[in-house]
Amino acid sequence: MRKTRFCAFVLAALFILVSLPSAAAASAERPAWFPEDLDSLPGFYDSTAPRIVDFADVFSPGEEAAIQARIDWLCEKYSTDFVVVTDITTYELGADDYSFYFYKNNGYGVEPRYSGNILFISFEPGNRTWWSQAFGEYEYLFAGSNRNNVNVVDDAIEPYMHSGDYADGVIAYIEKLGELYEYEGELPAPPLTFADFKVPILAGLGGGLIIALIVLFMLIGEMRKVAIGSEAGAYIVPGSFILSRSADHYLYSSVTRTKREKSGSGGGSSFSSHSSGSHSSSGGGGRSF
Amino acid sequence: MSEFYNPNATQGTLERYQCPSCGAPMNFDAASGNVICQSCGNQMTIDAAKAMQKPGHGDNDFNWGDYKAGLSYNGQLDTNVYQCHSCGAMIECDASTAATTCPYCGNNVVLSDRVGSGIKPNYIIPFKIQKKDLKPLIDNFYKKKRLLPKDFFSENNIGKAQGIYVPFWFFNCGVAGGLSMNASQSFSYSEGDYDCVRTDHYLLEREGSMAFDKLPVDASTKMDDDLMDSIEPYDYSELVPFNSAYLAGYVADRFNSDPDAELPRANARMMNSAFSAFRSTAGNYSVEGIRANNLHISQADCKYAMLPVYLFHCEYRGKTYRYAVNGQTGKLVGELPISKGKAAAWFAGVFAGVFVLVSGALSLMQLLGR
Repeated sequence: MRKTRFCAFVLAALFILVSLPSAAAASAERPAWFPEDLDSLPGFYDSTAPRIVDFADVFSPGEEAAIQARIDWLCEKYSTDFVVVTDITTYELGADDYSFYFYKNNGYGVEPRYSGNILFISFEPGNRTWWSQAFGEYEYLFAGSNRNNVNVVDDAIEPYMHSGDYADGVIAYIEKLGELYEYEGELPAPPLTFADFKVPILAGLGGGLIIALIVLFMLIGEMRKVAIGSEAGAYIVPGSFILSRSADHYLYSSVTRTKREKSGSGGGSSFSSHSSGSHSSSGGGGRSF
Repeated sequence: MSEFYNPNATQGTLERYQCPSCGAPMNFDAASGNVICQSCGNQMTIDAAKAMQKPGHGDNDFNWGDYKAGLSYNGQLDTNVYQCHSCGAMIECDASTAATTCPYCGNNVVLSDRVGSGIKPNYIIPFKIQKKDLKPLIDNFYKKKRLLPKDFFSENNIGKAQGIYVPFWFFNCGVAGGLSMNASQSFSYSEGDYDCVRTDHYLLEREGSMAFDKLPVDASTKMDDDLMDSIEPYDYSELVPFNSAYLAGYVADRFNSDPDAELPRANARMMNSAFSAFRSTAGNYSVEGIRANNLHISQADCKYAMLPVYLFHCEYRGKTYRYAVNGQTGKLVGELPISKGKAAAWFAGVFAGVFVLVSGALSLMQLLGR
């Protein structure tokens, strides 16, 4: 009887231990705006929804006004929608899922395809990052052959993010986004400068110097055909070399270990794409700061 | 160092071994029959430990014994030996030569300057290249020398070319014994986040023998060693016993350097070649150096030979350039002057060409990639 009780106790303890992590995951806190049914996101447009959602409270009223002015300019000129969200956590969603579900479930995007953009800035401790996504008709801005545009907008915002000038970063982002709209995702190449040719010129100088030196030394070598003899191989009597004993003795081993360089993002952007049910997909990316 | 009893050693002796990896003492392990380092745990066989103890000698520390026995000192020569008053060179001519010039300084040598006889050469290789054959050889030598100054070549120089029999010592010997070499084998592999290279260190023991025949070393201090080494090889199938009749029309330099003085050069060349031969038996090991050299010389012998050489020199801008032609094979060696202007032009031309090609191609790729 006591044995049966003991077995039951052990089984119960094992069950509790195994089920603890999943229970914790299941109860991970979700924000109030998070959709209940992830498989069905019908999308809707709410013109009254705020286009600046500052959960992290990083913008001053004056900065919010300046950002709002640029959002209004962007949306009016290009018939699009834009929302910037800040938060101190991603609720374990990751920046991409956070921004995707926030956009899809809070009334953003111009109908019929709920087109527009979101910029999400996460101030989660140890995981400060920003993420931008394009939806609907404008998904092409960050997708396919235009994927590098994520780098373009990230380059525009990055200096501000690192210096803590978040409002100016958002404004710079919106203006760069405006340029992308203007040129339908294909920005004209910037005018060439001397810096663009620095690498070819340096490579040419280096390559020229090395090859010219090699050629010169070869030509000089042709002019000096004299050298003190160092070998006598030509005077070994043919067939006279006889190896009478050969022994290879193992002594010891040594090991050198070199830590492999990890190919990190190095300031480059990471990318992702999303799709939800039968509705429009989205493309985007972001960086840490 | 620790001591332990080696059952394979001579009765009653104690041997001391040191770990090649960390330098700590190694002790005999009865269970494995190996020696084990007390510090790092490295293990090796007793044979390996004993091989490491073997001493060697210096590369040139050879006993050539009575190798000069074959030389005919004070042999009867039917040649005359003269000394040039201008440069001091000793010149041998056949008895019928009436007058000649010094091949080194060009001065006339007076017959009354005869100083006596010397060692009778064992061999001679007769001249095969005639003086008239030198012109095409020299033309060919200058051909495609892109840095040669335009005003350097003058036919007058060829006119002064002098055929001379140069004295050489021929060193013959057998080389036998053992050689031990430090060697290693490396393997690369990955371990987690690390790139690893394991290097296994070995001691390679080789024993064997080889024979060297007629390694020539010039026996005249007035001859440039690099010129004489560079005109090798001679075809020894045309080597004949010395006969002064071959000197007719030519002069012969007389040795003024004893074989003992030239032995180190011969030793160095032979040892390099012996090391190369043993090194070639290392298979897949990478040889890092010679640990102990126990090679020794046997059946050493030295002979005196006269080999045909044409010598000429050119003066250019205050500097003398000396050339030598192998009188048997026609091989011409020597250092040519370098035109600084041509060198600069070549450097600038190649540099500019490569610069335009590389920077142009990269710029084009950058423009196309925009």
